[in-house]
Amino acid sequence: MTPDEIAAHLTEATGAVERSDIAHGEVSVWVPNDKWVEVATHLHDCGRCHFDLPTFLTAVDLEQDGFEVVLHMYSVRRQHHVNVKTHVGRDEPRLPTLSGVWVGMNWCERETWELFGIDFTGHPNLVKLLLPVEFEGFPLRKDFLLMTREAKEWPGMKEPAEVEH
Amino acid sequence: MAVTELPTAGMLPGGPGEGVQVIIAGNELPTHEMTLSIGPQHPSTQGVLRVVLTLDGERIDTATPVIGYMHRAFDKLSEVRDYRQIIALSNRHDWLSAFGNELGVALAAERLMGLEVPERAQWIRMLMAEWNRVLNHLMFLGSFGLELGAMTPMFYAFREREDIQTLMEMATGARMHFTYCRIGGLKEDLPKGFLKYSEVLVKRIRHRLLDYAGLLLGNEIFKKRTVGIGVLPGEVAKSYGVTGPILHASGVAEDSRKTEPYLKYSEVDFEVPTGARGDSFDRFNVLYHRIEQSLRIIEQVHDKLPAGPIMPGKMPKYVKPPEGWTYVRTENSLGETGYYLVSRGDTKPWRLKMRTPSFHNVSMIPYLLKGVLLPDLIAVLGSVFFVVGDVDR
Amino acid sequence: MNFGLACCAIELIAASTSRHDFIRLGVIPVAHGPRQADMLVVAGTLTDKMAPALKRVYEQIPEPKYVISFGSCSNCGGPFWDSYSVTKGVDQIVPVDVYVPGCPPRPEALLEGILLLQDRIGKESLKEHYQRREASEPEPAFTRSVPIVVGGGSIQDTSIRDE
Repeated sequence: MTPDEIAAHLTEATGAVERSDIAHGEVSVWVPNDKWVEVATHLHDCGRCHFDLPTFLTAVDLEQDGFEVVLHMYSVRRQHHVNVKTHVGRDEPRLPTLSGVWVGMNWCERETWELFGIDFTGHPNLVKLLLPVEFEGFPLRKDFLLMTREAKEWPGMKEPAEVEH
Repeated sequence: MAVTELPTAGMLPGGPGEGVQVIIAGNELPTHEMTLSIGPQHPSTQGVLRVVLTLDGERIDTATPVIGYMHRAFDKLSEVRDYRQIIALSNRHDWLSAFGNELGVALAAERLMGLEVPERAQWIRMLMAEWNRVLNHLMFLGSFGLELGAMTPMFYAFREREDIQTLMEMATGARMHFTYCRIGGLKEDLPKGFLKYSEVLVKRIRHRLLDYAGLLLGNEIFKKRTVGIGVLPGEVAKSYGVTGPILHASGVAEDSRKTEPYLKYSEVDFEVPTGARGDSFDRFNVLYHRIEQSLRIIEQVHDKLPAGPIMPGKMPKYVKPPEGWTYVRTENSLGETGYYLVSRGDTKPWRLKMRTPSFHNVSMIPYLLKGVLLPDLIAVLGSVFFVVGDVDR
Repeated sequence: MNFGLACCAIELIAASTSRHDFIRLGVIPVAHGPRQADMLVVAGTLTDKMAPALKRVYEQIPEPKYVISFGSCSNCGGPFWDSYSVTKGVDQIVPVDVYVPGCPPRPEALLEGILLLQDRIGKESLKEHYQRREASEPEPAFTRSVPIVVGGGSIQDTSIRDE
């Protein structure tokens, strides 16, 4: 299906699409939090969609607007992509888990949780994946600063001509 | 279990004392469950991967990979670097085929900017990407043999790799982290003598590939250790997000060079080798044939390479893609490497997510190792081709 | 004992194969465990999660032991100097004898590093070596004689850094 058709089909079939957008040949649909699992299950089960290869699940920090969680799926049989996005508030970021729909989401959600702090309810094993257990804080949030850069400005910022010898 | 009463100590010199029961085990050996941690520093794992196994005797019950020992925070670092620096940083992830990672970043930024990359640059990028694929696969041909106990393929593989690295050094100046790609094209054109040496190497490597086939593919011991071991069905592989040669070995011929051709892959002729059973032997076999196909593509690039510029006019030093987001995927040597780039019009990206194939390949290890005997662990783990920098980013 | 972690490990392996071959210098990279090793080559980025493992392996190697830090990630953090999860230099964990700079260093640089280290070992007196070790435990870094940097330069030259 072409990007337009995917957007139209999803709007019609699930009734949960808030808005859709096509940019650079790819389609994105935004869905509300409570319909997250429903839309994902439809993508998995529907014969026309047939999305079987999870590409990634991640989040983007939008500062005041919270987080935007992005799920990208690919279908091997139909050879089309879709981006499914949803908004999560900053104060208590929470989403239901998709690891029941595609097994590959298990690790993606663990990674998104430990880097952003978004809680995935119902996840079988939400423990740290990449970071050491003692690590505090959620690194990929915009308010987590890189301390080495705070302590010292990168010497390469200046062009060679500007540096006084 | 058969229980035998042995005669008393008097009759057997040095035997067990009176009344001691000796249990001669039958088919069921009493076993305990044991946890074995194959730690991050281990000669058999390909890099710093830790696998915690619970064993019932010699059979693996559960296997949990513990990753993160190479987590260097590429996503966060790319938010404070501009695009040229990101290209230099990205090639340190899949370090065996470094150009593939750079290519993805450049393609993502170019797509957001709507830049038209000159023809010659696209063909040369394809040439570099295919040589990198050969580099990567040669390494795994050697290391899989080494893990199973065969030392020779390792030395042969590095002999080939040294030749190819000399070739890469002619064009880019580096043996491993090339930083040859730029947003819009390439750093500089190919030097004189590059194409001639490239043609010589294609013939040489094609001839020497027969060595590997002779040493390993036809080897009785190798086959006994890998055929039927570590079977991964296609449907399970897809639901884990596995891509690349492992997915092809499970029978699913999903290759983004064929389905969504980028660069000039639509104008060259090649096949995607697949396997029938999805076991360790198939994964190895697929790698071997992929090298042949890559050499085929390289020869076609030699014939079709046009003349022309390699950058679209004068590019500014700091590139500012307009606001927007995109996802670009490339078929890197180990699978699908993709970059999800969100830009807000600045010289630095707002968010750059690197989707790596090894992350998903390693996530299916718990499934693959369930029920495998401990001696077969290396045969299975070695056939799951991953690079730890890719897993942890 | 090769502690190959990241990309530099590939150049380390390349240095041991036929073209560059450090085995002919007497460095045999097949140590069946740290207890049988003499030298530790740390090649690649050391993350905070991996650091305890490095310390544990280093402590298991019996004296006399020498450490070569191969590559700029293990020298000082390298291209990942501002990362939240990278240890900025293995000399924060173990004392280093030879620094081989580069990203990744050429295998020839490793050969030079090994030759320089062998020179130094030849001239060193065991008595001094053990006295210094006892006096300095458990502080790492700069407890031995001034480390060698392959390609010249000195660790203690801070004129560039203070700019």
